[in-house]
Amino acid sequence: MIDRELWAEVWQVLKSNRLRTLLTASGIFWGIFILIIMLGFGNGIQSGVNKSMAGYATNALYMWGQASSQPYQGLPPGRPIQLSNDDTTALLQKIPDIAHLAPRVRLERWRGRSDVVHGNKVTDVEVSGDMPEFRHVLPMDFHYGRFINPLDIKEKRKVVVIGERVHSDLFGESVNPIGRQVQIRQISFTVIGVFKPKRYGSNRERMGSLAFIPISTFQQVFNYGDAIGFYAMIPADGLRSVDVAGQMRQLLMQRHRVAPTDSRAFGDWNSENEFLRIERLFIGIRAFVWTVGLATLLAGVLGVSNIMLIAIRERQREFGIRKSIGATPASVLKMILAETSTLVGVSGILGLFAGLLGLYVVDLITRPITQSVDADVLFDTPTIDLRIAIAAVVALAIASLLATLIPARHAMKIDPVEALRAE
Amino acid sequence: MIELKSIAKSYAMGEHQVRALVGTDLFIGAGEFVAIQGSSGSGKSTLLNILGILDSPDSGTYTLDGNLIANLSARDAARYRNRFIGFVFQSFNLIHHKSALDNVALPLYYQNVSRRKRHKIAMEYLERVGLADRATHKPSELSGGQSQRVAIARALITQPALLLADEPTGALDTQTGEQIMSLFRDVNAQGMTVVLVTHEREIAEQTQRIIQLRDGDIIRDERL
Ligand SMILES: Nc1ncnc2c1ncn2[C@@H]1O[C@H](COP(=O)(O)OP(=O)(O)OP(=O)(O)O)[C@@H](O)[C@H]1O
Ligand SMILES: [Mg+2]
Repeated sequence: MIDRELWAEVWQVLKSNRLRTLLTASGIFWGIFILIIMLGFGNGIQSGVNKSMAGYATNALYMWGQASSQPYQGLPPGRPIQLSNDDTTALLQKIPDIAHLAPRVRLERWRGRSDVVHGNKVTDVEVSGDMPEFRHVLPMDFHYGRFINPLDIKEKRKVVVIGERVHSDLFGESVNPIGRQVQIRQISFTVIGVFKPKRYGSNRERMGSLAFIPISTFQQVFNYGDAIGFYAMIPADGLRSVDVAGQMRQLLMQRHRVAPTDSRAFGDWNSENEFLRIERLFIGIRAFVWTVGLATLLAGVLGVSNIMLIAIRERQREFGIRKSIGATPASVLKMILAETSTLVGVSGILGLFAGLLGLYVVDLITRPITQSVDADVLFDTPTIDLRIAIAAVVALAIASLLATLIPARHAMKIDPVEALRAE
Repeated sequence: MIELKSIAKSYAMGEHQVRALVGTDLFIGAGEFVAIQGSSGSGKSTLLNILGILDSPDSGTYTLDGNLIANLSARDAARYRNRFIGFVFQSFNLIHHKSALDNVALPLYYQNVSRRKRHKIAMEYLERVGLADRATHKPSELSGGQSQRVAIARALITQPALLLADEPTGALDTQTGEQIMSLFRDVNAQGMTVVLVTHEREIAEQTQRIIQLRDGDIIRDERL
């Protein structure tokens, strides 16, 4: 339908009205450019905020046993509730809404540390017994080695995964510690990995001072029997952790013979509120970006239709001449639409590339700050979903075509006698 | 070739109607060379525009080459203008951003002739009007006589059966006007029907037939 002849014709027209072409094109160009830049910055801020947040999954929920506060089924109040491996099995069996369940035990009280020894060096660590699932609660990368795996659990291997600070204090940063021994409470463990959280959050020192031992090993060597300290739980996609926690609580109450009204028997905590607060911030950023971006695009579209309106009025005579020598109304319409789509398409794509280039430059400039180890800025590499960018260009082209349709229909109906009379 | 029967056309001018043509009958045979004369406002352009299917009459019938021209769709009218009729205007009406060659070639664009072929044919027609060396010039770089010759080449390129010209020499000096007239005589000699509007007696006398209009009606029809 749109042939080479038409393009040649369109090109000639656009070339011969340089100023007008340039003005229209720059409107579109800036619209797309600004949209891309804003989307990129929005994403940059989002991932910056994400990065600055604590390293733990934001939708994780923690639950532990406390003590019963009501008499029930002949049992007195004030009875301590101890979670166990059987609870873990039951939870996993009965509650499919749990995506990941990580039972945990600690060697010391909350945030308490123990000594860890290698040769003549000593440092302090927060030791915990964990399952492989804990990686979903604390996403991590590995400098060396790996995290606890199911075989470690099954064979109760005496192995340990250590944090960055422990590694550098005991071995030195550049030494590969895999296979080396460390002692915790006089028991030797083989180092199998050095982890680095994907997000450090605010407390970097603490993140580097963690040590993970397979939970089965932990329970055995430290005489914990089958006791579990608390659960860390990630709900299945789309579910709220508090809702899944309700199910967990109900099951645990039955299992531990706690009155259904006893709200103090189990404690829980989640970061959902913080999570929601940040979600809202992101929604705000997105709304702002899209509002400003779309307003700019709209201005671009109005610019196109306005200029096309002027252009068509200016070219009345030309259309009159064309019609007098055999142009059909359809061919006039086709030509105008082809002009608009060429203009919008080309300048939109240029704006797209310029925007991407702009984001790249911003990244180059900000990278030394945003990517440094203790970066404290709420900004990260600005990224953009290319599909959204292309969709914006296409939407703009369609909107411009629709906006041009009105003046174009007018051009279609130009009466050659009238147009040629006007001097 | 052309048969008009009681063609009437009037324009609304505020309150009253201006009657541009009042029931005109006219027959022009194939191959004739006709001049239309009359004072300003006598309806010459109106008549020519109706002949060229640029305008349609309020009443009466127009038969062109055996085809009744009535209730044509915009598309069919465009097709007739493109294939049957060549138009030449007093003010040339070239497209200013196109070269002389592109202007001449334009009617063939609307016949879907390829660019290369179009340009080849357009070049032949420019040669015919003696302007081959001005092919790449824009209309603003051409004199009035040259512009009109380009316009004539454009009108001729589709080899129409009917050539219509509204005051083709009106904007030109006598000598240049003579050149234009000799072009018209040539194409007429090759069999094309030519109808031109002029108010100059000397121009009209170079044709074979003079039609006098007054107040929208034919008052005299003389063969020379
Ligand atoms: N679009 C129009 N609206 C109103 N009146 C018109 C229109 N076109 C022509 N007329 C009137 O119709 C009459 C005939 O006009 P026409 O243009 O045919 O005259 P003409 O013989 O070509 O005159 P001229 O020698 O000045 O070109 C005139 O009175 C003119 O004012
Ligand atoms: Mg006139």
